[in-house]
Amino acid sequence: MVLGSLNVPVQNGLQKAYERGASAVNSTIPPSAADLPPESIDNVDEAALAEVMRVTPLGAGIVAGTAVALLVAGFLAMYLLVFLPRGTVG
Amino acid sequence: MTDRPVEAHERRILGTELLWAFGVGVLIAATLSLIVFTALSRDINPPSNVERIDPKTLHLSGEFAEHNLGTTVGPDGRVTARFIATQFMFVPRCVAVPQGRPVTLRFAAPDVLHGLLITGTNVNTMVVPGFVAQVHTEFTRTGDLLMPCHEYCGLGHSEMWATVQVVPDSQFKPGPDGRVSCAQR
Repeated sequence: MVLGSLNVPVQNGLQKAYERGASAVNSTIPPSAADLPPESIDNVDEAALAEVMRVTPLGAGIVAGTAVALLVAGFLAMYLLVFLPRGTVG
Repeated sequence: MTDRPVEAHERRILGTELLWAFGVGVLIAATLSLIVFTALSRDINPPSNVERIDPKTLHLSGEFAEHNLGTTVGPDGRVTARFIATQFMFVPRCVAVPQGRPVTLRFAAPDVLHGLLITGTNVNTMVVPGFVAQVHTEFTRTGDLLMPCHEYCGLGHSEMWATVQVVPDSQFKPGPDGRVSCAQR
């Protein structure tokens, strides 16, 4: 909007409204690590990190292993219980 | 030195990944071994037959002339069933085959591309004009099995099907000419 085309009180009101809206919008943005200076200290609990790094591969292995086991079990069930009993072909 | 725990973490993750790769390798090898072993021990392989035939004259004389179609038992006891797949029917519409004996199915098409499967079995092949499609199989169960065309061949495609009548070997009795038809059941 071109404020110069309006009278002065309207211009002032719109300016205040804009500032209020801008501050309201800005207040909803959470703080970001990107805003911190790069030399800031990263407060990491080494014990907690070690525990996470210990269990994460185990959990990933269990999830992936279960998925692959289900896939292989499905294939074997189809191959041994459906395909082979249907007789030879060639 | 502060990165020593990080190195330990990375070693543990690397160990997990190597273990996973080994496990998947074992699974793939076991699966392929099972497929190869059963394929060799039970003679299971994709039907493959490169045999040319003239589609314009196949019904006039030779193997696929009308009097040769259907099931025949050779002097050596080999059972062969011959079909012509044409728009929009299989000729003959029904063949009788024995249970538990090797059977050779042979197909030829004079017009367009067809395909077929026999329900409840692993028989599944294309019938390409100019070539003889051949499938060796052994039927494990008795009964009337549906054999539809499974390659769209025109407006009447959905009406193109035949019946494979699998009968117990004791009831499979060829006539003097070595032929067996569904009516003889």
